[in-house]
Amino acid sequence: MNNSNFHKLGIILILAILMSFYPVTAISATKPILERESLLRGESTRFHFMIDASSYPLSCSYSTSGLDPLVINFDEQKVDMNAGESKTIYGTLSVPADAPLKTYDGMFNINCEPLSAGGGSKIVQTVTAYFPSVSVVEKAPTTIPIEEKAPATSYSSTIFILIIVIIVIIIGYFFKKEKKKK
Amino acid sequence: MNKVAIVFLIVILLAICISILIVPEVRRAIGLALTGTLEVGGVAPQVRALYMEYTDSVYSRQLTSTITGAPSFDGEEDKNKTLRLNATVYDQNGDCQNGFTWYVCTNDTGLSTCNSVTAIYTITVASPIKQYACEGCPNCCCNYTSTYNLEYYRFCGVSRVNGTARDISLLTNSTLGFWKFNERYSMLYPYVGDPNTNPGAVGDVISLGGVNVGQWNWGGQNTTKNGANTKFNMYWNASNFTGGNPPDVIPIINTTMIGEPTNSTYAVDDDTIRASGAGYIHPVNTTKTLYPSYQIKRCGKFDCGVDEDQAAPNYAKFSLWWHLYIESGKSSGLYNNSIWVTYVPVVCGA
Repeated sequence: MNNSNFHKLGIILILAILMSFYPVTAISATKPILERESLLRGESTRFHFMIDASSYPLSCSYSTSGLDPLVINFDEQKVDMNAGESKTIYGTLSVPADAPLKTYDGMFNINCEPLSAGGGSKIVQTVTAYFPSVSVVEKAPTTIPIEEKAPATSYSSTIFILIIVIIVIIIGYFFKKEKKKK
Repeated sequence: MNKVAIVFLIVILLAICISILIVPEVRRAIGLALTGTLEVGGVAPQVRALYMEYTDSVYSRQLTSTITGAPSFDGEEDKNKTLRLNATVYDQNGDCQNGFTWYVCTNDTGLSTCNSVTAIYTITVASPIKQYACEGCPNCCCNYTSTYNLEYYRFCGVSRVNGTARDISLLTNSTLGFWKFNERYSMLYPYVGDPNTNPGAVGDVISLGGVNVGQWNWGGQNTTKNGANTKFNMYWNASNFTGGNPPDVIPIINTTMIGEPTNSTYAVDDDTIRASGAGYIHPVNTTKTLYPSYQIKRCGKFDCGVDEDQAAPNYAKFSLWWHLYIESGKSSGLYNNSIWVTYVPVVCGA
């Protein structure tokens, strides 16, 4: 193929090969919030987080890692959302009876991809964030009773008591003097 | 001494003592006299409590005096939400009506000091929304309120408000209140929205358009924006392009590409010049490419014209381009692929 033919083929392909990404998605989610962050063996707690589908319908799935042997169960395994829709996802975190006593730090993943079909490239978005720390403890944290302190005697109360004492002494002295007179 | 006179003296002394203990006005007058100040208003106001709530919510939350137990609020992607700040002030002189200032600080400037220097917002109201009798004292309590369009993406983790009350004598008193915005992750690409009129809007096409064979092509410029309150890193993988007629494959790895880094024929870039640093992308299940090499920062203003550092370059909102090398002899037509992008947020405060 000579140079001019190659150049001609190049022009044809310039017009013919098109690259495009179709429904590109924007991911938006919140960090999970645990109802309790300190648990005993055998206990469980609920948690929740939110996913928003901003401009396009989305299909999202989620998972955790690094939290073994704690058991994570999501109420729904995946969620499909319409454009502009927000969904709160709930789950339960359970501590097995033989789980080591320690603080667990794991990761949390949300994968979202566009629901609608079409031509072009597809973007799959993932958020990988820290799951809130969970402590497995031997005893439930005890509430320290607040000691009720007697209110401190105020300055004015002291003066008042002092004056009363002085008055009693004066009266006593006065009556003693009167008695002597008699 | 006359007996009647002594009894009279005792009664007067008793009356004085009892009045000191029972009647607050007399107690205050004595207190003022003792300090040598007779002017009413000589006692500083007390900021009793600070509250915060969304203007579209009925739930008002009291801010805590310690970080532990600070109330939390949810922000919304790419939106400014109006918060109402409330404060109750007590002044035993009944002159708590001389204004209130909220200094709003993020945890970026530390959690110990919050004042006019460290605050990112200073909100002042000249007079209370209500002044009323409390604790048996006329006009001794004031309620202050203010609404503010808080750029929630500037706050991550525990933040502070310093509430400062001022009385007629210009005496002041301050109280710290802690609160937090829950962490949110949001990446908007290609961003076509506006936080005031069209928050969170993204487009549906990134097109490289027509491309040349036998060379590198660049195009597909679009804006990317951090729409939430966490900083993060971005990691990329992609699949080969498939399509054309007859069906063909444009690989994103070409081992014959001598001199090209990592043999990748596909790259994402924050400018049009590959040589100045681009993110060469590899197939899924291989190493993810970190790009950009800098952390995606949080927006610093409503329009995100600057990032949280309030200075150029803007690492919160910027353009991305794509580079693609197509070898000669490929079929014409439309090609598709999949791109996996992973956002790894940075823990708040880090």
